[in-house]
Amino acid sequence: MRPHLRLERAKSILERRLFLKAVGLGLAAPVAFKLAKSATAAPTGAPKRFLVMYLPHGVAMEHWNPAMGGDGTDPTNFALDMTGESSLGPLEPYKKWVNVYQGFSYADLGGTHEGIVNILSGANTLDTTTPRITLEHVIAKGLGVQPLIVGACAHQVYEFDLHGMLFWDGSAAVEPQKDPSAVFDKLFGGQTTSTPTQSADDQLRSAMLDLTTAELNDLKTSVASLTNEQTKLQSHLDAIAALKAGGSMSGANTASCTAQTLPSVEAVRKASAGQVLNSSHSNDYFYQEENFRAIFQAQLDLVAKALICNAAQVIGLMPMYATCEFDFSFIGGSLGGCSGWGHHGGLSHTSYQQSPSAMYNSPITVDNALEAPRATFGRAQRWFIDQLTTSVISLLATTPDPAASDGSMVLDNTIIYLTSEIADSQDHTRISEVLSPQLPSYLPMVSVGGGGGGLVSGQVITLPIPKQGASSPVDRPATDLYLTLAKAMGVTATFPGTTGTVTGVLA
Amino acid sequence: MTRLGLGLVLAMSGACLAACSAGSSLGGTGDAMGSGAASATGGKGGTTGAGGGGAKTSGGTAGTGAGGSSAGGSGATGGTAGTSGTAGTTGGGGSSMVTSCASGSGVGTPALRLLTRREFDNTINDIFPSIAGQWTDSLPANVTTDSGFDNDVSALVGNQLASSLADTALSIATAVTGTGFQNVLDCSATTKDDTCAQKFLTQTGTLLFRRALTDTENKRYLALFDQGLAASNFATAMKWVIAGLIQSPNTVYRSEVGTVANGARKLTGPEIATELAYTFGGSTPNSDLLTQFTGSSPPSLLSTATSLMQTPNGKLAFQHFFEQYLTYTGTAGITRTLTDPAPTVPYANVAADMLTETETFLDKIIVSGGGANKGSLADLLTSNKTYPTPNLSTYYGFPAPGSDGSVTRPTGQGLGVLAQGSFLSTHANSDYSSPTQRGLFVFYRLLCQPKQSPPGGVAPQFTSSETSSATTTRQLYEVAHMTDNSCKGCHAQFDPVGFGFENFDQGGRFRTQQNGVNVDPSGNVMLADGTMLFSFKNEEDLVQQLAQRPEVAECFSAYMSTYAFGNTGACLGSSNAQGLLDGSLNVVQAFANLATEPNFTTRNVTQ
Repeated sequence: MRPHLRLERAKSILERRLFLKAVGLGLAAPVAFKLAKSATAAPTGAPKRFLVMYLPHGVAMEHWNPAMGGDGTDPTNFALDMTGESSLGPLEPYKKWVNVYQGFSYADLGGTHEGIVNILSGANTLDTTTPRITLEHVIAKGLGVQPLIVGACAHQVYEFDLHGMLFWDGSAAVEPQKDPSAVFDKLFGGQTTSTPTQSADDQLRSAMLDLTTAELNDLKTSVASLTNEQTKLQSHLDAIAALKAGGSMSGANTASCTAQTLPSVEAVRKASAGQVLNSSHSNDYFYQEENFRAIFQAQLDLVAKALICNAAQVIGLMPMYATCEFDFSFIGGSLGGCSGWGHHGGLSHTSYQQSPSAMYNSPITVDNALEAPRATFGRAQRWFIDQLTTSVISLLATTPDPAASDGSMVLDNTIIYLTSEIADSQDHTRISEVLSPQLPSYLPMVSVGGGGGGLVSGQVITLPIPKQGASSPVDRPATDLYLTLAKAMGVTATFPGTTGTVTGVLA
Repeated sequence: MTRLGLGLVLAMSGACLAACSAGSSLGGTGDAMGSGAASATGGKGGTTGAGGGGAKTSGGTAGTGAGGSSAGGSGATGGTAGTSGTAGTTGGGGSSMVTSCASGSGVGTPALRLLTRREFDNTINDIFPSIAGQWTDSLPANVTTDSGFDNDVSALVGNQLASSLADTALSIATAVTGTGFQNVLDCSATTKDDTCAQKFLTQTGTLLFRRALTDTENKRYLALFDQGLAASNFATAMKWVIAGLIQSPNTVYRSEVGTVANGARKLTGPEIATELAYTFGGSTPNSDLLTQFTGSSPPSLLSTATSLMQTPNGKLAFQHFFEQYLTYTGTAGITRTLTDPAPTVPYANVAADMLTETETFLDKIIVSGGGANKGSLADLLTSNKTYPTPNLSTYYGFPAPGSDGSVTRPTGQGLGVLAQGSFLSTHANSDYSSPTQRGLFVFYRLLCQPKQSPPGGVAPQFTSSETSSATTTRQLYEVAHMTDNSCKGCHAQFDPVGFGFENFDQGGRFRTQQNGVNVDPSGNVMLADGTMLFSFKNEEDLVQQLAQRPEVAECFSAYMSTYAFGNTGACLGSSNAQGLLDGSLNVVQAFANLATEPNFTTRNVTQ
C-alpha cells in the first residue's frame, strides 16, 4: 500500500473511532459526525472548563521527561513518545495543547504519600490553621460553580484517611464520589438542573433548607459559649447556604447532552445494583480491585461528557489513592524485575541505582542496573495517560464546543491538569532537583488544553533547579503554577507561598 | 542458599524513616516539635535522636523536625552537616495518637458529635425498618484520624456532606412516603391533614431528635407541611417534612452539651440515653431507653451499657472498634507472594477467611468471654485458641477445627490475635514480612508512643548492596536500619519489636527458616525515650510479657476511651487500666465501665 493510502485509511479509522466515541457520549449522530470532521478553531470567549487528574505514586523520571530537540533551548521543540514506556507518549498527537512544567516544589514537611493533602492547596501538611482549599475548588469558587469530585477507588473501604484526602473545600476534605451512575443521574437526570419555573419540589426543598438554617441558628445560640461548636455550626450553616444558593456545577444549559446514557456508566450501574454489604463493607463493589478499571472507564466517559456538555465546569478526578496497591498485571507485558504488580509497592518503588555511590554521580545509562522495572513503571503510568487521552482528551480535541459559537474545540476552552504527590517514584522527592546530570527530577506537572485562550500551550517550561545537596537555585513553589492556571481560567486567586505567575504561560 | 532478590519492596519500611521526624499531621500537631536541626539539604536526615526530619524542602532549607535528645545531625547521604539543633524533649517525634494516662480520669469538653455514617445508617434502619433496602445512602466516608478511628468529635459538616445529607434524607423520605407509608404512619391512608402530620412529629420526630420537639420546632415543621399541602399533596408535603427532620442538626448531631448549674455542666437524661445507645449499642436510643433516662429514676449506666453491648448493633459497634484499633482488615484486595515454601492453599483463597477468623476470635474469646480468662486483655494477646475455617487451617498447617470451630494453636506457633493471618499479612509487604510495620503497631497501639512520620525524599526500596548482603528479612532490616545512625535513631525503637514476629511470613504462615536459614525471632521492647522495657525470645514471649505491662493496659484503655468519646485530647477513661492489667476486668467490662467515667455524664463548663 502506498504511504498516502495508509495515511488515508488511518485517518478514516481515527475518524470512525471518534465518531463512535462521540455517539457513545450521547451526542446526536449528525452532530457527532460533524464533530469528528471538524478542525480546530481559535477560541474566543467560550466557557472555560477545568479538570485536574491525580496520577498516583510519582513517575520514573527517565520515562516521563520530554526529549528536547535541537540544542535543547527551544521550549516548543520536544517529543513525548520516545519509547513504549514514555509515560506521556499518548499525548504526542495533542502536543500543541500540552505544557510540561519543570522546576516546581511542594511546600511541605515530613511525609511522602501523606503529603497528598498538601499538593493542590499549598497549605503545609502540618498547618492546621490556614484554610485548606485546593486548586479546583479555588477555580470553581471563582467561576461561581460547584466542582465535581469523582474517584475510582480513591480510598480504602471505610478509611478516608490522609492517603485519600486530595481535594479540600476550605473546611474539610472532599471525598471523591465513587459511583459514576449516581453522578450521571445528578448531572444529566434532571434532579438538580434548574428550570425556569420552580416546581413544588423545588419550592419545598428551598423551604426545608430555610427550616434547617433556622434550626442551626437556634442550636448555635444554645451553645453560644462554646467556641468550637460555634465554628462547627457555622460551617454547617455555610454549607446549607451554598446548597440553597444552587450548588450547580455549571450555569450552562445541558439539554442537548441529556438524551443518551453512557454504556460504561450503565455497566457499573448494573454491576453494582442491589449489592448487599457486609458489616465492614469490605465487599463494596466500588472498592474491589477487579472493578477498578470498569469504574475508572465509566468515570472518564462521564468526565468527557460533563466537560463537553459543560454540565460540570470544574472537575477533580482521583483514580486510586496514595499507597494503593492494586494489581496492574492487566497492563500486560513483562513484570520487568518489579517485585510484584501492585502499583505502589510492586511497580513504583523501583530503584535505578546499582549501588549507593552510583546513584547521583554516574550516567544513568551506564549504572542503571534496574532499567527493566523502571520501564515497567513507566508503562504503568503511560496506561493512565493513555486512558485519559483515549477517553477524554481525544474527544475534547475533536469536538466543537457545543456551548461556543466560534467553532473552537472543547479542548481549546479547557485546562486538564495532571499531577502527582511526588516526583521520582523511588526517590520520593517532593521537590525538583538534579539527581544526576542525566536525570533531572521534576514534580510531574502537565497541562493539556488552551484554557479558552488563556494559556500558551505546546511548550516545555523549564525553570532552574538545584543539584541535589545544593541550596540554590530555589524551586518555584507549585502554588505559582496554580496561580497561573487559575488566572488562565479567569480567576483571581491567592495561594500560600506564591511569588507570582509563571512567565511565558499566560497568553 | 538463596539471597534476597533485588526487587524487594518495603512500603513504609524499606529505606529507613531517617531521623525521627515531625509527628502528627492533620489530626493534631506534634507537641515535641524541635526546630532547625539536622541536615541542611534534607539528604537522608539527621543523626540519631536529632531533631531534624530531613525532609526535602524547596531550596534545601533546613528540615524542621521533631524534638530530639541531642543536637542536630549530619546528612547521611548527599547532605552536609546540620547546624546545631534545638534539643527536644525526647527522641520521639510528634504526639501520641491518643492520650494514655497512668491514672485519673478527667472530664472533656462539651460537644455536638456528628453521627458517623454507620450510626446514621443504623438510626434510619431502626426507626424505619419497613423501608430497608429502599433508600440510597450517598453520605461520604467518615474521615479517619491519626487515632485510626472514624468518629472524631471535631468532625463537621462541609459542603459535600450537607449536600449528600440532603440527598440521602430525600431518598429516605421518598421511600417512607411511598407505597408503604401507612406502615409508618397509619393516618396517612385516611385523614391526611395537620393532625396526621402532628402525629408523625410526635411519634417519629421524637425518635429522630431523641427528645420531644419544642413548640417552635413543631410549628416550623407544620408550616412546611402546610406549604407542601397547598402546593401539592399529602405525601409530597410529608416527604419534605420527613427529609427536613432527617437532615436536621437535631438528628445528625448527638448533643453532649448538657446544662450548666452551680459551676458544673451535667448532661441531660436524653443526652445520656443517646450517649449510651450510640457508644454501646451503635445506634439511636429506642423510646424505652429515652423514657427511662428522662424519668427521675434512670437505670444503672453500667448495666444499661452492658446490655446494649450484647445487641446485634452493639456487637458490631464493638467489632468496629477492633477493626480500627487492630487494623487487621487490610487483607481485602492485597496480594501476598509466597514461595518459601509454596502454599498448600493460595493466599487469595484464604484472605477473606482470615478476616472471619479474627472476627470470630473476637466474638467468641472477647465479646462472649470464652477466653481462658473470660475475655481479658491477656486473652486478646495470648489466647492459644483461634477459629480458622478448614481451608485456612490447612493453609496454616493447623489441625482441622473442632465442632465449635476452634483450633488450639500448636505449641510454639504463636499466641493471640497478633499471631493471626489478618494482622500479620496486613502488616507486611507483598513478598516478605515487615518488622517495621509490625513493630510500629506495638509501638503505637500497645505502647502509645509518639508518632514517627517518614520524611520526604527517603527511597522506599533497599539498595542492591543491602539486599545482596542479606539472606533473611531480619538481616536485611538490620543492615539497612541498624547500621546507619540516621536510620537507627528511629528504627531502633520499633524494628526490634517487629523482629518478634519473624516466625511468620508475609502471608501469616508460621516458619522457622527463611531461605534455608534459621529465623531469629528474638528482640526487645523499648520506649521512645530510650527506656528498655524487656527482651523476648519470640512472639509468644513477646505477647505474654506485653500482657503484663502496665503501659499496655494504659494504652489499650486509652484507645477504648478515645473510641468511646471520640476525643484524643484528655485522660477520659483511665480508671480501667489497672483492672485490665490484673484481669479483674475483662475487655467488655472495661469498655462498659466507660459509662461510669466522669466524662460520661459531666463536661467542662467551657471549651
